[in-house]
Amino acid sequence: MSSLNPLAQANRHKAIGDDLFKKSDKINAELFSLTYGALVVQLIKDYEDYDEVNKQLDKMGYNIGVRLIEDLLARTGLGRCKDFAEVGEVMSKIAFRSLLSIVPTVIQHPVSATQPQPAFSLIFEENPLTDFVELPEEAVEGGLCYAKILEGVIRGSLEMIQTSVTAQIISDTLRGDEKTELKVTLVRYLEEEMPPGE
Amino acid sequence: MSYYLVLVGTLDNPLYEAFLTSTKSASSTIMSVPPTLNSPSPSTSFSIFGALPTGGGGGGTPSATGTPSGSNVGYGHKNGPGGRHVMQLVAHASLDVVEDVQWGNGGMYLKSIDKFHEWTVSAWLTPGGVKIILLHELKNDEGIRLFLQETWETYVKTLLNPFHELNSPIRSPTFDARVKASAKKHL
Repeated sequence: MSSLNPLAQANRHKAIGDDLFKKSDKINAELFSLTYGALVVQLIKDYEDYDEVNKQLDKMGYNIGVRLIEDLLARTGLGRCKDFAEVGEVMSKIAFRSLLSIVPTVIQHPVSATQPQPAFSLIFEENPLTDFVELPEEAVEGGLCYAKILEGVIRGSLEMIQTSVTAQIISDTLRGDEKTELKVTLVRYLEEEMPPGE
Repeated sequence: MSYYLVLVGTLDNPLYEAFLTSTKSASSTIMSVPPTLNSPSPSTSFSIFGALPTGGGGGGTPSATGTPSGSNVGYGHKNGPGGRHVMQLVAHASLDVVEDVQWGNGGMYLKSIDKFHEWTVSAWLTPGGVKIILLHELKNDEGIRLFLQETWETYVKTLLNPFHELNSPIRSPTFDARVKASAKKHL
């Protein structure tokens, strides 16, 4: 696999992603957006504290992520990614493509002096989760991160494949920024641990 | 000329209102006037109508019927007597007429349902029971129909926002911008 040039590899990823998307069952995008919207609004009504809502969304995302990765790997039969940059490519072209039918742009941030760990950013031009949504003033001031669930999903799914990361939405169009950017930074690779007691 | 748009919710509460002035129709009537008097701003064009004897009527343009008595300040005009309150009153009074007409008319566009002095009231009844009411002086059926339809579509998009509560006033600046742009295009 390391002998493939990047372009061929990108095409391969794209082909796998498109193929998986075609084979998957579809649901109506508006139904999906409305469901997620209702979920967020209900959380806000229940907790009345935007920080708490953010935390809950992240937790929910984590739970989704740990289950999602198994499903994805089973359906695609992908092998190990050779480096963290490839993780970003696979996530964008295969995972996001087959699950949300979007392909966020990947921007790699290789290791540098200011940044000891590799990272990549996903730039979302469109996001079915946030279609039709306009945050009210209080939500923006309160610090609500509407698409926070994505951070949890990425963190949870990568943790199941022994990669500990931090995922953070650093800019959000709903809050008035120019673009929606989710930055994923590697923390460390986890060693397989024996369960306690053995 | 000027228009008054109001969206009325199912509890007869106003969700959104806008006073729109259209430069489009004002400039089309100026065409019948000698070119030297061509003025870009609508507010000064009102005084031009008052000054001209029959210049506006000769062109046969729709707004020619807009100033019957030759006075440039109509009943419900924003700077006229009563002004905005009169328009709100007229719109409110026409709600009853909308409810009467809705049983006869199967579609959503209820055309011109009421008339008050020089103001005609056109309405659009959405399937959800929200009434979009437009007060206008000019006759512009096709344009008004398209405008009401676009306003309805923008309203539906607002409804899809999970943070919007049904029957709550619409304060979103995007809605405002879209409605104003649509008004410029069709009216």
